[in-house]
Parts: sequence; C-alpha cells; structure tokens
Amino acid sequence: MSTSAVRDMSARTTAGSTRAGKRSRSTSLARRGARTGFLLTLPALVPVLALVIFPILFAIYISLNNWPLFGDIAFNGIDNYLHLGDDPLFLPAVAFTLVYTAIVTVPILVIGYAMAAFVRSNRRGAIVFRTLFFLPTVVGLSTLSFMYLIELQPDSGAANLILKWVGVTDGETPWFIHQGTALGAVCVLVIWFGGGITMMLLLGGMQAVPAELYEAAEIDGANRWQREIRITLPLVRRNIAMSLVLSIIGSFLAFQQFVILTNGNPGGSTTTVVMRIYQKAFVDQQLGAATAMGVVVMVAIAALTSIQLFALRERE
Amino acid sequence: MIQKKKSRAVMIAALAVSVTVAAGLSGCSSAAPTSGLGSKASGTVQFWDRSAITPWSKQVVAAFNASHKDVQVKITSINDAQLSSKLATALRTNNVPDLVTTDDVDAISYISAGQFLDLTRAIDDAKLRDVLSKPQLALATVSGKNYGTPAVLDASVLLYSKKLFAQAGIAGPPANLTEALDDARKIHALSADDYGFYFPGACSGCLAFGVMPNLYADGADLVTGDDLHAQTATVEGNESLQKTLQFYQDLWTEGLTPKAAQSDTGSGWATNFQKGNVGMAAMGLFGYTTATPEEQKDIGIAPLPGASGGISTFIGGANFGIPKKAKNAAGAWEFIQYALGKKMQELTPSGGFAPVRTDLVNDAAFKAANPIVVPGLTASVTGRSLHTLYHNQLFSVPAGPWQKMFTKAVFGGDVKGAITEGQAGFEAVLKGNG
Repeated sequence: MSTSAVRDMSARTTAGSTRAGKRSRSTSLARRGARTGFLLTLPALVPVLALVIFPILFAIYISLNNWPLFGDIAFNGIDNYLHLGDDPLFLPAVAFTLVYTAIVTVPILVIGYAMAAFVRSNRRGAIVFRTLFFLPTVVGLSTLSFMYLIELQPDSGAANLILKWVGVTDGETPWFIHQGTALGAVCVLVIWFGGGITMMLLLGGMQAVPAELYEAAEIDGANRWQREIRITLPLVRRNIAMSLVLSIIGSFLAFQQFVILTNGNPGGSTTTVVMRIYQKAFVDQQLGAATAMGVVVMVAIAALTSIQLFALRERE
Repeated sequence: MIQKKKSRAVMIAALAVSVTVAAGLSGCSSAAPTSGLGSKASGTVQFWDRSAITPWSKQVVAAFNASHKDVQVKITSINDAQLSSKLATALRTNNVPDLVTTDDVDAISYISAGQFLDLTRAIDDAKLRDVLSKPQLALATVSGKNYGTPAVLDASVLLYSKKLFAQAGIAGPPANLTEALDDARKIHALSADDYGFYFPGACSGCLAFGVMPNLYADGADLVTGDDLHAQTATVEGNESLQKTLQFYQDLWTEGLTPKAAQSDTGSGWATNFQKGNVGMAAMGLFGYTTATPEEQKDIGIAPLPGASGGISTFIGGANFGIPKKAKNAAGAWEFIQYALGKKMQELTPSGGFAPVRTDLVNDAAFKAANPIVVPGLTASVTGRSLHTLYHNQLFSVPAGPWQKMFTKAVFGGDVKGAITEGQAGFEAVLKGNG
C-alpha cells in the first residue's frame, strides 16, 4: 500500500468519522431537545392528566359498576351500556338533542358570519355594534334564559304583548307548553346568544386577511359579494371550522336554557341528553348508568368533532 | 449492633412522624372522636345545612355556640340542589359532616342506604318522642327505627286574598273543593282580570306540595304500603283524586286561573298570586313571607281543605340526620336536642317555617305571637308526605307519572284517561321500570 493510498484512506476514514460524529452529535442534540421540550410541556401536561385524563378513566370505571348515589357499589361489566336503551327517556333525549342541534347550528353560523362581516371594518359605530352583538355572551345564557322566561309569559311578557300589539297573536301564547313552540322559542334565544360568540371567533380571522388582497381584487373588477366569496370565505375557513365545532358541542351539551325555560315539559319531551344524564344521576340516583350515558355522549362528540375537523381541514 | 440501632432510630422517627401527623390531623378535622349519643360532648360539630332553612339554623347555631363552651357548631349552608351530590361524595369518604339537615322527603334515600345513625333510643332517652311531629318523624323511620328527627316544618296552606274575598262576598276560606270552586267563580265574576285560583301547572314538585293535601284530608294517597320495597299504586279507583283533578280541570276550563299557570315551572308560583288579582293559591308560607308588607296585609292563611272536607297539609321542611361516619356524633346529638327545644322551635316562623313540636300546636301564647303558622301547624297533625323511595321519579320530574297525569286531566280535559294512565305510570316506577 502506497503512502498516498494510506493518506487517502486515512482522510476518508477521518471524513467518515467526522460525519458519524456530526450525526451522533445531532441525534444527541435532538434527543436533548426532545427531552427539554417534554420537560417544558410538563407543567401543562400534569393538569391535563389530573383534570382530564384521570377523570375520564375514572368515569369509565364508574360506568362499569352498579354505582348508586348512596349505598354499596358492585361491578357489573358493560351492563350499564347494554341497558342504555331500556331507559325510557334516554333515546328520546338523544333524538331531541340532535334535532335541536340541527336547527340551531346553521343559523348561528350564518348570523354570526353576517354580524362579523358587518362590524369587521373600522367604520364609525362598528365598536358599538360589536359590543351590542357580543352583549348576550357577556350576560350569560342562564341570565338570558330567566329574562326570556319573563318576557314570554302569557298576558304579561313583552314578547306576547308586542305580538298582540302588531296583531299576530292574542298575547296569551303559552310558548313552553307544547314541544314545538317550546323548542322554537329556545332556538330563537340560543341563535341570538350563539351569534355573538361566533361573530367574535370569525372576526379575528376576517381582520387578519391582508387589505392588499381586497385592493387587488377590486382593481381586477371583483364586486363586494365576489370578494366575500372568493377571498374572505376561504381565508376564514379555519375559524369557521372552529366555530362549527364549538357550536355543535355546545348544542349537544345544552342544559341550563332548557332547565330554566321548559324543565323538560311537556311530559319530558324537551329533555336534552345532558338533562337526562343529570336526572339519571341525581333523581334516579344511579351514577353508574348516568356515567355510561355520559361516556357514550363523550365518544359521540369526539367522533363528530373529528369528522368535522377532517371535513373542514385545510387542503394544500 | 449498628443494624439494631438503625432500626430503633427508624422506629422512633416513624413514631414521631405518626404522632405529629395524628396531632396535625386532629387539629384540622372536626373534633376528637366522642363515642355514644348523649355522652358528654366536646369539640366541633361540622353541620351541613340545606340552604332553604339556613335563616333559622344560623340563629340556633349562634345561640348554641354562645351557651356551650365545650362544643361548638360550624354551619355550612349548602344549596338544596347540590346537597345530595355533595353529601354522596362525602359519604363515600371519611370526610363526612357530623350533622346534616335534608329535605324531609329526601331523608329516606340516605336512610335506606344505611348512611344515618339509628337515633331511636336517643330520642326516647331525651323524651322527645311524644313532642315531635309524628308524620314528620315517620319520614325518618324505617322498620320502626328512627334514623333522624324533624328539624322544621314547611306545611302547605291555602293563601287567599282578603280583599277579593270581601269584594265577592265570601265569608271565609273554603271547607272543601266544591266550595273552593264556587269561591273561585265568584271572584272571577268581579272582573275578567280577577282570577279565582292559581297553581304552577308545569312544576311537578310544587303540584305535589299543593294538591296532595286535598287527598290526604280524605285519608287517600297515591302510594301505599309500609314496606318501602313493595309499595302499591292507588291511583285508579281513588275517588279523592278524581274529585281533585276535576276541580283543577274546572278551574282551567272555566278560565278561573291565569293562562300563565299552564307553563309555570314554579318561578311564578308566589309572584303571580301576590299580584293581588288572584283569590287563592295552595303553597307554603313563603307565599306570605316573600310578599311586601303592603301585600301581606291582604293575604289570609288557612288550612288546605280536602276534596270532600276536612283539612290536611303536605309535611315539607327539613329533618336532622347524623351520618354513621360522623366523628362527633355526641356533639351533633347535643345540638339536635338544643334545636328541638321549645325556645329554638319558637324561632322557626322567622324563617318562614313552623315548629315540629306538637306541644306548640296548643300553646296559646306561641300561636298568638305567630298567627301565620297556626293553620299549617294545626293541619300538620293529620298531614302526610311522600314516604317512598321513588318520590323523585314519581313526583319531581316532568316525565314522571304525576305531572303527566295532572297535565292530561287538567289541561287535556281527560280526567278518566289520565287516571288510567297514571295508575300504569305509578306502577311502572314502583316496580323500578320508570
């Protein structure tokens, strides 16, 4: 072997070992980075484990037991799940909640979008309208429900008196005694309430759209409607997805507005699924069966949300 | 040798830690455990109180703490709607209160689950048995044993407008439902804006409180049987029920009740009566105590009449109970005895309640000082309540058979069909299939 060949080999070996060293250093750095990243997420991870993951696992455990509110607990496997349909009110409550969700979701989005489009510019008075539209969210659904209850009273409520004044009704409509009118009345309240928060969610996205895009489109001759459809709508897609997800989850978990306004009347026909879970736990005093219902609802919402997010994902 | 020394040191350290921890724990828990009811009590009594009666309870606690040096009561008022869930959570741990007050109707749930101490002997030893309201004590009784005592009475009564009664020429409160209907018609005849009777038609529990005494006065009930696990429904063939539902249907169909009644889930129960244009309503004393002084001048109070006569009431209110795991049961029992004393029971009207001592029913001085509680107190002797494990499913939810039956009979105009459906509904719930 010549000297040059040895030198060449040595050089190649050195280069190889340098590359290996670099690789090993970068792997080590990556590992250290990953560890640091993990350690940095710990403060957030611990509460999630303690306040979300553990309670969910414990809820699943409760659902596998005959767990009365008071008294002895006995493991009964998946019995609670198998007998969910035996509860005379659970499936009707699921059906009612789905109908309610289907009714309010689109109007909340459309009205929220319209309000956001109306107040997104910095024109005069925009802040006043923003505040007015968002006011229901600040007041809160429970308070609004109580106010609404008073204003929908037959004979004395403002809504009935106005309807009488304009000649639509005799002013004595008892809105909450039939399933249809009760559902309709609650939907109107929730759409008004939900529109404000949807407006805020969409407003952030709308205000992030660069003004140059609108200017360029305007120069190209696009009218206001075309600019909305071709520019704004695609660019707030993520915000719309988030609003829809939150709106559907909120509707599926509807509780206080129905408790206050209808309390399930007439005859339990306006009982939502969460109301039924509550009744199962604290009226029937069967925590195990109630938790099984809760787990099923949780899985259904998770599945629904995944489907929504997949359908509304950004396509590259 | 070194090993032996080491293990001794570990033992001493462990002992020291145990003593320190034990001392610390006893310092932050309720009290040093005191065995036996009626023995000398000491320490602190942790008292969870249903919020509805807290105005009275706080007065009793203040008086008790001022007069007892060795034992002190710490009261925690808990919202009625949250009491059962909080208590259920506590009872599954060793962190229970020493004393609780529950809605007297709910007490049976805790008792049947074996969560409360047997107070039978203590009640006898304290000579309380003969002075406590028997119907209310029965709500804390299973198989002849008392697992609690009454605390305060919330009896349903008939509130009426003295002004409208005078204007309509009605001499006094009705003695039965036929008279009540006649009186309602006379009041409505005064003007279209005056109504004879108000009831919250969509509030299941409120209706049980106001309507059931019409049956109780006749000796009738909808659920019968002492064995809580084998009770039967007595809805069909119940003449008092038929008369009572017909009375309410007549009120509705003849327009003697404001339209708001049909959808009222309870929020307008008192306020709609207090407006001054309603002649009568069946409710608790809160209908009087929450009225303005001006409105109170116009409100008369009378016992609720039976469908065919007689008087009765729904025995509502609160019962005391001592959880089995209570650390200071002796202190709790000492407080109960104090709260059931005449002096403390005489304070109940200030909170809108009536006393649970029967000797006050005939106490002329007490009655003269507290005329508003007299009608309910008088009726409480023959009063009853819902003594069933299924009272919530039967009487407290809109989908329950009671509310469905009432709605169909009164607003749907079908008393007979409602009773037939009601029998089936009550039976299903009592069999555990509701």
